[in-house]
Amino acid sequence: MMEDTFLLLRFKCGSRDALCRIYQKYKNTLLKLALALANDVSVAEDVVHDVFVVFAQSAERIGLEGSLRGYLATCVANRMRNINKKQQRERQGDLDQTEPTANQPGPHQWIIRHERTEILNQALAQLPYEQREVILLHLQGDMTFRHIAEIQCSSINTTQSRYRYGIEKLRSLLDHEVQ
Amino acid sequence: MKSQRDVENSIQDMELDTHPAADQRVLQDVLQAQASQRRLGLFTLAQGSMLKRAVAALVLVGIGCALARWAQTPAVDTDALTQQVVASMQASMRAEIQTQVRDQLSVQGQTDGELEGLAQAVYEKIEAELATATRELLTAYDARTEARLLYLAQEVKAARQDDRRWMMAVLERFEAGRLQDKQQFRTGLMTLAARTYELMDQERPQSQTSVH
Repeated sequence: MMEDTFLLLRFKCGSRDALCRIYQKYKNTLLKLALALANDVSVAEDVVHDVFVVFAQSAERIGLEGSLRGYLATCVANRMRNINKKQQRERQGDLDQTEPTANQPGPHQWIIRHERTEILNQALAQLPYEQREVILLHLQGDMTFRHIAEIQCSSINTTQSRYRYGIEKLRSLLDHEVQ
Repeated sequence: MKSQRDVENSIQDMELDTHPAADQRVLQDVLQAQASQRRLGLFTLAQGSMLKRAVAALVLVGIGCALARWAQTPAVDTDALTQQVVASMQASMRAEIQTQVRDQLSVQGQTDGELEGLAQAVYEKIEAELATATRELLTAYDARTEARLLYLAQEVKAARQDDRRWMMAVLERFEAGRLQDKQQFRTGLMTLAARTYELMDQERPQSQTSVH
């Protein structure tokens, strides 16, 4: 936590090293989060790329209080929500649109996928988006239910229920996978 | 069936790696974004500070002009004065120098042309020395005037302080007199009250006996 504060402070003073360190420290976490939320490699890569680029440009605006991990995770979640909304609009506008084939590994792929992660992501993809978001922000973004509730514009009880139901469903899904 | 803790752990420990080449590419984009933002920030900062400095300079110049207009005194132009002094001395000195040089050097058998040239050279040399001396004199005069003004200002300040001190002393004396008067008045009142009480005390048995 203190390290993050110092990193942020140095970053706000324009340090390239601090930004590199922040990038190295959180890129995998954010990629995992984005991948689990989007279940699409290229979307996840784009989201994390954009989040870091915007973060790099926001040295003056960003504050020192709060958790850097939580802040970046929130940025990813917000960007994912925007993408989802945009995709929904596009789907409604053009029903004949073909499904994206971005999950096929390309030559410039950033993420190297692991089998276990793939299984887990498949299971997570079967959850409703809000449940998935609560689980991932809580477990990977280290965010409190109160904070997640604020992001989701819901009550803390609803957020906790979403988490509970999501975990229960994951348990059964992963159990089926094992069998 | 997996426990809740197992599921949570597996999500927390999800593995993911990245291609180093793509990693470098993204990092480059990020650093570039930071650099562009910093340039923009510096430009804005510089623009802001330049504007502030320009406004500050304008305000200072304005104040300076106002003060100068308010307390306008003709500035001493040392060069012009030097030229005036030298010009006024030229006429009287030139002939004198030429005569002196001619008299001094004619004994050594110089021709008229050579004497004329030498006299001119000596004259020019003396003229230059005179100009320098005059300039130095005027500069020294300026410095002396400034020192005198400073001295005058200090004297005025000291006099003001003396005045203030004298005024304070008078006020203190006045206050002491007032306090003394108050004390005397108070003592007088107390004496009067005591006397009145005594008189009343003396009067009381007589009135009581007259009632009975």
